[in-house]
Parts: sequence; structure tokens; C-alpha cells
Amino acid sequence: MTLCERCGSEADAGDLDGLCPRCVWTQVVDTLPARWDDEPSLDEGRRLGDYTILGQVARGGMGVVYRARQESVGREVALKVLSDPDALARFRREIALSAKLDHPNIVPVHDAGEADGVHFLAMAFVEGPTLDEARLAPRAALEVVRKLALAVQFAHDRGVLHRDLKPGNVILADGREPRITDFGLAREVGASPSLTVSGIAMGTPPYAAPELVSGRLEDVDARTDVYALGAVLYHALAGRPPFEGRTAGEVIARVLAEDPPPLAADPDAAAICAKAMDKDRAARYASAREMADDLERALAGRPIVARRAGALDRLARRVRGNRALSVMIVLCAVLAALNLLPYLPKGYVRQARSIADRLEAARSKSPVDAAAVRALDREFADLRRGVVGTPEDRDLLYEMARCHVQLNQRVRAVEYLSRRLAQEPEFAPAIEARARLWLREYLERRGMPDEPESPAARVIGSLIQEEAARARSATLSALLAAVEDHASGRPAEARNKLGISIGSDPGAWFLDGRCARMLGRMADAERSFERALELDPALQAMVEKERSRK
Amino acid sequence: MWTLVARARDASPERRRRALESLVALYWRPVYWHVRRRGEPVEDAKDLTQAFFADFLERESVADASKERGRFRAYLRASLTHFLSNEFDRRSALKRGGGALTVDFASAEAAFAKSPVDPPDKAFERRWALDILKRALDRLGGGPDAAAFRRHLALGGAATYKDLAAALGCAEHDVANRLHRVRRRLMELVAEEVRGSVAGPEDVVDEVRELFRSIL
Repeated sequence: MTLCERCGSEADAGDLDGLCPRCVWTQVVDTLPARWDDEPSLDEGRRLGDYTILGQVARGGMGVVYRARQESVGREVALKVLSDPDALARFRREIALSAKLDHPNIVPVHDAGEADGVHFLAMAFVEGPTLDEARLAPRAALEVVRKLALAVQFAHDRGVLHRDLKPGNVILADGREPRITDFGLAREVGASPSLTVSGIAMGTPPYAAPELVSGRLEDVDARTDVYALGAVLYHALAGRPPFEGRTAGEVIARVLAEDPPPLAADPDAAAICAKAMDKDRAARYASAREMADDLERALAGRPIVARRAGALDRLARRVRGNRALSVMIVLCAVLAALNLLPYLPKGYVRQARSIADRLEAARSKSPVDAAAVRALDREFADLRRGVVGTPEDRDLLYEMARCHVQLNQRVRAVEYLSRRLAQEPEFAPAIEARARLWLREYLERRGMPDEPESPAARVIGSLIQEEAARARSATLSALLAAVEDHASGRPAEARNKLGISIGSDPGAWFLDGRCARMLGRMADAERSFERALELDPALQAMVEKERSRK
Repeated sequence: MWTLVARARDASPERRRRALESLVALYWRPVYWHVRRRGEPVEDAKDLTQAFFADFLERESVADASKERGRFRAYLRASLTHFLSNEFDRRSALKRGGGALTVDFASAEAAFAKSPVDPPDKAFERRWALDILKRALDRLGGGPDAAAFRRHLALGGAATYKDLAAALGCAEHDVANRLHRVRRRLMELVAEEVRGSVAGPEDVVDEVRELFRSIL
């Protein structure tokens, strides 16, 4: 048996000619569309009404696209074919909306028809690579996105939002002139959502705005398309999407919590990207035209509207380059919040005093209150501005995360760890720390064995699995496997798996306690819980919950 | 495959025999693994596997054609369990003999010996999933992109993007794109393999996910 270096699973090399079954299956599952279309491929030469099929071009989650000839006119068209009635309704919408849009950078839809029970959409056939296949020089990328922004504005002016802008939906005719296709998810601006796309996250996660992936449909407006334009620009400049992940869930988590990795590109281009992709809609360009204008300025060498890195804070300037100081300042700030400042060595206290002072006003005496935590966050945001991109920034982020763990602010801790990982995706301690926090959440959502597993718990569960593999944490993998056993009503198996990971791992002891309780061994359970609390007092809430069960 | 099972009800014994052979060729390994995990020794396991399929086909040939059977994998597993637990049916099937169906028991046994110790049902699922993947990978074929994909996912020492770029003669940033296309193709092949054993397209995604779990 060989151990796979990617995922850590054991496999017999003979099973799959030297490939790791788990890795291959993971890739397959990750590429699965939300639903499978049974559409058999139409053969070359097949007639569909006025059209003759010439060949297959693409097959996606929504339908198959063919190259065809329209006999009556003698021109080549693209035929999109689908026989599912729900998609048919989407088609009709696409036609209605696209028909309004006559623009050189938008692919026109000619016709919709039906022949032999096959429903299809006929549109102009555009030859050329899509934006995710092509490689563009930086200036070309700016120009292409500028044209796209103008086309998008054209659509907005006629009351149409695209909502699924991505490099795959942009064809570069003859490798140069961009044309937008697939208004399939488009909607009239201001129309109430009458057609739901059940179960599928609207848009494609790596390019979709936060309000889109989190399902806040009432927040979707022109600026959602602006975000997508920013993401497309990012891809064109960096050669990869702004957010990546092994599963859709992971990508969505990143879209919501992280900044994309810094662009190694012209600072103006990077600033335009950042403004368009701001998680706060109000901070983005208010319209696609504004973005197009800024892109034009960047190309002409004129000053752009998007702000570059903010003015440096005087304190932040002092901190830059002094690693020990920045770390200590973080520590001091937290300790100040917890009212422990007097116990630090005097030299550090003096330097951190100005920050600590800002917190004094907001903090309370008993457990840290929300305002103090917010003040702490603001403080760090200030500090970060001056050190963004330097090693100090990374330390700050990691320290922040640890502080929040101490303060029992799990959600914030995860946010900071995610940002830390955005700067260095393989930083194992952060991966593991974040996976453990997710594990806590997962345990809370998983409940007792006979409770159904919620979709959210499932997403988190698979997330943790991936992360445990990435961090090469055998302990974490074993923990997760034990959770599965435990939740499926196999406490004995769980205990077996925990046997390897128990030791100084508080999570393992906690699980062991839970198993013991399930098996009715109350005294054992209590001992395990106490051991868990010794190692990690932040587990208090979960232990209480366990003790109060049944 | 439901079409194969339907053909097994054909009047012509020749067609029935060929349908049996096709079914066995596709699904004998999971059955064999299941039987072995129950503790049956090698020779008995061989006999039982062949006997099971003969019995299964015979039952199916007289069964109600219109009955909704859902997912074939679950149906086959349930039939197997039923067959094995019915002592009388088992013995009489063994006595009748399953005929000389030539499959490579030796290789299945070798793989079995190295497989994790699963409960019989899980062994069945695991082998089923591996077989699906094997067939899909075979259909994926050769070609430089597919070869790169295989190197990328090799056990114990996978190739890096840099290595693959060198092997493919392209830039490093193109490697991701090419691998992605192979991945999509493989996904389609797996979905096609699975499609034949489920009732409708709406089951395909679930079935693929379930099979994935059995590999974990």
C-alpha cells in the first residue's frame, strides 16, 4: 500500500494503474455540474428546421452548443440545445432580453425554435478563444475590459443585468474583439425574482459578487456586474481567477471572507481591480461606465479615480520594519482589552500605550464586550494599512486570529486566518487552526446521530476534510473520521480512530468524552471532558452543551 | 445496466447468454469482493459469484418488466444479500453450477488481498466505484494531456506544474487549463458510465457523490 502525497490516503497502486483513487474521484466530483443533462449529442448533418448541425462546440451544465448552418440564409450560427422545460423558460428570457441588445460587443441572438422535440436558441457564431483560454498582454487586457464595461453599460441602460459575467462568457473574435454571450442568467433590472434557479448558486462562484453568492438577491444591482468586470480584469491580468478552491463551498467562503491575492501588475490596473471588486457595493464604481472611464484613463496614462494604498498612519510608519514591535503591539492591545496591561514589561508598554489608550475607553471590566472587540479590529485595520504586503502584515493577521480565538470570537478568527492564507496559501499552522475552528462549528451543527445532516454542515464537513489533507494533519483527518463515525452511531469505531490522535489534542479528548457518554460511561466521559478543558478552556461552551444533553 | 437486464429476458438463449456475460463482465468484481468479505474461502467465493449471476438473470427474466428499480447498484447489492442469506437457494444454485464463465479471479483476489478490511457492503461499493473509474480512465485514453493528468494524480510523488509544463511543451500557466479540460472529459465519462445504471439523469450527480464516499 502506498500513501498518496496529495491527500494522505492509502491505496493499492494496482487498483488504478498507479493513480490515487481518492484524488481522481475528488477531481471528478469537483467538476460535476449541479445537474446532469441527458442530452445525447446530435450528429453532424442532422437537420433541425432551418438549421444543419456541423459540429459540437461545447457542452456545459445548461446545454450543448453546436456550430450549424442556417440554410435559408446560408450563414453559420451557434445553436444552443436543451430539452429541459425549466431551462426553456430561461431561454425565452434570454431571447427577450438579448433581442433588445444590438451592440458590437454583445453576441446577438437571432432566433428560438423547435424541431423534432428539440428546443434550441440560434445566435451569431463567433470564432475565437474565450477569455479564460486566451493570454493577453496587460494593456490589451485593460482595453478588452474597457470595451466589456461599455457593453455592460449599454445593457444596463436598457434595463438588463447580466449576472454571470466570467471569462468563459467572453469570446475574443479573431483573438481581439471581445463579445459577451450567455445572458442566460440575466434578469430585468427591478423585476421581482419570479423564476428561481433552485439549488444552484447564482453565477459562477469565482467571479460572482458576495451579494450574489450569499443569496442576497435584493442587493443585486448594476454594481454586481461591475464586480464581475473587476474579477474578469483580475483573471485577464493574473491568468487565474481571483478566488480558487477545491470545492464550490471553499470558493464561496473565500469570496465572502478574503481579499484576492495581490496582483503583480501595474498599480493603476490593480487599483481599478480592487475598487471594482470591493466587498462593499458602495465602494465600487457606481456604474460600468465609470469603470470604463477609469480604464481609459489608465491606458492614456492619466490619473485614475481608484485610490491607491491609503495615507500612512504615523504610528504605522513607526511600526513598519519592526517585527517584534508589531507583534507586541498586538499583544498589548489585546491585553489592554482584557485589563492585563500592568503585567507586561515596561519597555513594551510605553511603545504600545498609544494603541492601548484607544481601547481603554471602549473596554468593559467583565468578559470582553462587542464594542471592545470592534475597537480592536479598527485598531488593527489602521495598523495594517501601513504594513500591507510586508511580512509584518502576515504576523499581524495571524496574531489577530489567535487573539480572537482567545476571546472566543470564532467567526472573526476564521476571517483573519483566511486573510493570512490569502497571502500564503500553504501556511500550515493557519490551515490547521482554521480547520479546527470549522471543526468546532461542524460539531455544533452535526448534533446527535439521528439528526439529519444540514447542507451547511455537509459543506463545512467536506471543507475540513480538504483542509486537513492540505495541512497534512493526520490528527485532524483522524478527528474528522471519528466525528463521522460518532455521528453515524458508531462510537466504538470513533474511539478506535481517536486512539491514535488522543494525547494533547483537546478536540480529540472532547470527542472521546462524547463517545463515552454515548456508551453510557459517564465517569469516563467526565474525565475526558475535564482533560479537554484543561488543554483548551475555550471548549467550555461545547462541554456544557454535552453535559446538559439527555 | 438496465438494457442488458432487459435483453436477458430475451427468448433466444444465445442472447441471454451474451447478456449474462456482459453483466458479469461489468459487475462481477464487486460481487466477488462482497462474498470474500463475508468470509467465504476463495473457491467457494468463485462458485458463489458465478451462481449468483446465473440465479439473478433467471429471476430477472421472469420478473415484472415495468417495475421501477431505481439504482441498479443498490438493487444488485440487495439481490446479492438476499441470495447469500437464503441457505437453500444458495446450495441449490451451487449444485446447479454457474457454468464456466471466464473471468480473472486471480487478479480480483490479488487486489482484494490488498484492500482495506471493509464490511461486505462497503467492499462492494468500493470495488464498484473503482471499476467505474477504471473504465472511465480507459476511455480517456492516451494523448499528452491525459498523460499529464495521470502524472498529476499519481500516488506517491505527483508531478508539479513545472514538470508537466516541460513535458507538454507549454507554459506553466497553460497547464491548469489543459488539466481542467481533461478533468471535464473524465467527469463526463464517469457520468456516462453511471448513467447506464440509474433511472434518470436527475440521479447521476447523487450517484457520483455516493460512490465518492465509498472511496473515502
